[in-house]
Amino acid sequence: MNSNTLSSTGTALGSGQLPRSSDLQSEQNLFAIPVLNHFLLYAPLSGLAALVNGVALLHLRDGIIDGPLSELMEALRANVRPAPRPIQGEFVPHFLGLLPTRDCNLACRYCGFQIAGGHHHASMPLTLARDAVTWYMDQVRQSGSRQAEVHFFGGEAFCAEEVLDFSVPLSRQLALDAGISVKFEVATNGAFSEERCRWAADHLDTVVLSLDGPADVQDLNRPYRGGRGSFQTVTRSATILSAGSADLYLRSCVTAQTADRLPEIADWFCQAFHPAGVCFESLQPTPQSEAAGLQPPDPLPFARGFIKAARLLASHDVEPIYTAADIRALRVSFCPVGQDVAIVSPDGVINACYLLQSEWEAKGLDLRLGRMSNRAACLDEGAVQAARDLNVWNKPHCERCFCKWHCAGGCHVNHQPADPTGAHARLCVQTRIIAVWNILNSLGRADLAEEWLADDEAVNRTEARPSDLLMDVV
Amino acid sequence: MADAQIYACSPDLVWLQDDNMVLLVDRRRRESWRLRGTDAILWTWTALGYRYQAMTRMLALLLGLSDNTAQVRVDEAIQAWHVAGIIEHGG
Repeated sequence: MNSNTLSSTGTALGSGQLPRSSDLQSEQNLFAIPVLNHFLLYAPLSGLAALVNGVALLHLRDGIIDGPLSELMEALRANVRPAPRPIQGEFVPHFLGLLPTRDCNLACRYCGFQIAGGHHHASMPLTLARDAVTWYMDQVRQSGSRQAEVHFFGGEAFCAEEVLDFSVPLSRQLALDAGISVKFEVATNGAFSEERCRWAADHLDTVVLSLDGPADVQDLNRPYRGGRGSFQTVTRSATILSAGSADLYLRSCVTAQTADRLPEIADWFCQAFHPAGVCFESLQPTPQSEAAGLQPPDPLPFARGFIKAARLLASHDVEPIYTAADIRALRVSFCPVGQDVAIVSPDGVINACYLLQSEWEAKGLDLRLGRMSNRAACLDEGAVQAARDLNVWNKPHCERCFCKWHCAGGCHVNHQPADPTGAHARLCVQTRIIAVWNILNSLGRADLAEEWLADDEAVNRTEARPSDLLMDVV
Repeated sequence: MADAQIYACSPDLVWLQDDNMVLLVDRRRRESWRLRGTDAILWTWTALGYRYQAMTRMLALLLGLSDNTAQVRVDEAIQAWHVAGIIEHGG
């Protein structure tokens, strides 16, 4: 092994026990990933990675450690953080999610929300919003935290704008009384008036705006009900939001048709607006998307498109976001589920997930945590525990994957990590590719990352393995 | 009664939201005002086009007031803006 190849990934290091090599392996947290004629040794809990050759790898697997390898093992043993664990104990809401309505003024061609039953389209009564916010702020105050967060989801949250106009000042007032700060985030389609947009830009901290791309993409994928294109209004909103105090994050849903346009889309985003970050997400197939002839992108074109776009975004100081492959984060759940988030729906039911109940029920899941009743939240302890149990520790297919502490197995509702043959699912493949690219770049080996990414066979060899564990290397 | 009146602000008046405060500036008259707390909330709702009845209902819920008391608070705010010259009878 060339000792020069030993490098830290540069991620934050925590404290922990100093396990022996065998402990690291038995903990299943030391991975070896083939990259061209190298092996990428990756210890996510240490935040360390190294490139080694095949001989060194076998020595490490077999515990034959001397010379430069002892230096490597010493580094891997040091500063191992504890593996992330599910939350235990009392339910303290990480943030409050409010669903002002399930209604929406757009009819996106891939969205299943538009077929939701009529009862989903009711707006949240202001009395319910008051009770939820008051309960939540009280929970934050009692927990001793100094920071509260309220997130608005939909449908389209601004289709019930009075809920936001009421909840934001109420939250601010209660936070002021309790001596804590409060932040607000909304996920929106941006199809609303200039006045409303200015309000969002000035009163909220984070706006996540769905904008799929230039007019031909946006108007095809995200029309108004009735078919009129939304591009003009949404880009006007993006322009206003760019000038406001809220952080603007643009979220683009990527289809097979747009995967190779991600660099172009990223470039346009940077030229036209001032986003803090840009998130590219693969289309999640739905009956609606299939009926519309929209397909999810293949993993490799998506990963290549994302990586090119990410490079471009970074050059403009815009954060490229593909959360599942964020190697800085260690987590057991990818989303609010299991993280003690209370998401209150318009009818007062408190869920762990902001997706439609019908979606998770179709997958055999019950993500209800309780209900708002008599101005308080009545939470079912068993339901809270069941949500906490939805974590990567309980996803057998993820057990031997190097990415498990970063993606945590992805969406509990819509993502199955393995296809029926046992191979990695489409989303897993692209996540693994982007994660490897991130690790190589953190090692300062952008050159190798580029060479590897351009080689279809090499990428396939990397991502197609059933186990990434060092101890499983043959 | 306030709900029978129509008020308007000068076209020279601009405002911006700051932390827990709305700053109003009349560029022509070179005057400025700072609205905080309930006044800031009511100004924001007014600017968003909420009607008087809706504002009193929302304020009652927000502050835990009776509808009548909330109405008095809204009337007082409007009167204060009028006296300060921020808004004028119009329409």
